[in-house]
Amino acid sequence: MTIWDWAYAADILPVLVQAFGASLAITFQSFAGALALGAIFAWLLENGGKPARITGAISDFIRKTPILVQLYFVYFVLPDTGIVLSAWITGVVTLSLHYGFYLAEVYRAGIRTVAAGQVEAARALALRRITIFRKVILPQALPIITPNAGNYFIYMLKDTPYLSAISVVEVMRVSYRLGGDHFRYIEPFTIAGILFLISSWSASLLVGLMERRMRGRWARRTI
Amino acid sequence: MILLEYSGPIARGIGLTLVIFAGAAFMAISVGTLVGLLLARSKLALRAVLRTYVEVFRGTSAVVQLFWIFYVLPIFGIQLPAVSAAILGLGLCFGAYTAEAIRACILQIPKGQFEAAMALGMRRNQAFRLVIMPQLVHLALPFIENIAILLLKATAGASLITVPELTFTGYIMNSATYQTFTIFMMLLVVYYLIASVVTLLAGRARRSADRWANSVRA
Repeated sequence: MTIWDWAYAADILPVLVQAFGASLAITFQSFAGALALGAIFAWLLENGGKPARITGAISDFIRKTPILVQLYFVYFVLPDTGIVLSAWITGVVTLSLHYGFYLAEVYRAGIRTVAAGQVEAARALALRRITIFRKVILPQALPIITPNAGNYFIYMLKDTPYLSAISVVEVMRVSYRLGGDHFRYIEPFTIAGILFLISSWSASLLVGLMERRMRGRWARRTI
Repeated sequence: MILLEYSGPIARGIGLTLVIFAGAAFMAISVGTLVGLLLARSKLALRAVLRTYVEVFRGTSAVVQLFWIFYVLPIFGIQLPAVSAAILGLGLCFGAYTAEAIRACILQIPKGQFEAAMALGMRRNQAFRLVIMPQLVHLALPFIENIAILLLKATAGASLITVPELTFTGYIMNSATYQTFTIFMMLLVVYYLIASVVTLLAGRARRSADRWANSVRA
């Protein structure tokens, strides 16, 4: 028996690439959700008071518990309350929430790099709040936020295989099924690994590029 | 009460989760520190091999690695029990993360310090032990803490390769009883408690490492 069967590998490649498309789609949808939720969580946390304390406690709990168990929780418990979501939506909602709390910390760290004196100076110049945010805080915070947010995008992509446990059809579920059907696991799992490798490399390259462009452009504009 | 009824399997599940966590953490820290230190040295023939290890394990998903080790290694005649496969897979995966963190921390320590120590007549291993190591531990501990929490969360993935750890136990309990809320809430709370203990221990380790660094200086 050959260890690596090229014919079989070529046979299953299109199916796996298609399934990996689903993994990517899940990642993009969840990342969009996490970016939006993260902004809300960051706003809640920065405003202080009771809402900030409650958000902080929930954030701590979500970030210290496994995504897989959170997926099971949403997938199995929510229908009992009458809310029935598809497996796909369950996955996207759970990933968005989990990473939303991480992104909230990324936003906060980015905003905090801008010295308080700058905001006070801008306020003394009677700039409007929205102007201060757009012209003073954002140009300095974005180059800090971008690489960290990009890292979480990659983490998120690598967490999508957990969704196979709640029957979402993505690349690991398809690989596992192909392996079981043909009693050959090496080809599907290796191809799946290579697909992850290629896309996380491309993503980190892209993030680096964005970061450099942003630093150049924003820096010029602010000076 | 279902939790009382299943207290035996739950306890065994928690035990197995802790065993995988401890085993993989030990492996990740030893492999990661060694690889990180070697990668920080500029000229090294091993570099390409170590770089490949780090890139491959960081670039693919921990779940993919677990499946590969559990289902593919037997083709090469290496048949590991599921628990060992989980420890090996997670240990190597998070070892790669640790290696990157250690490398980044080493690069933060100015090279002049090592040279100064040599100029003062210290031997290489003395300089490393007395000058570099205390600072490295101080710098690296927050990263190690983060990685440890990520690792603990990733142990749940071992359930996907049939290890009867905590998440697996919960899943089976759910199929038998459908007490969804109680079971999955219990799982979340147990993981949260373990993670909180890890955070607590990491904080203590950092304080005692700082005391150690100060005592070396004095």
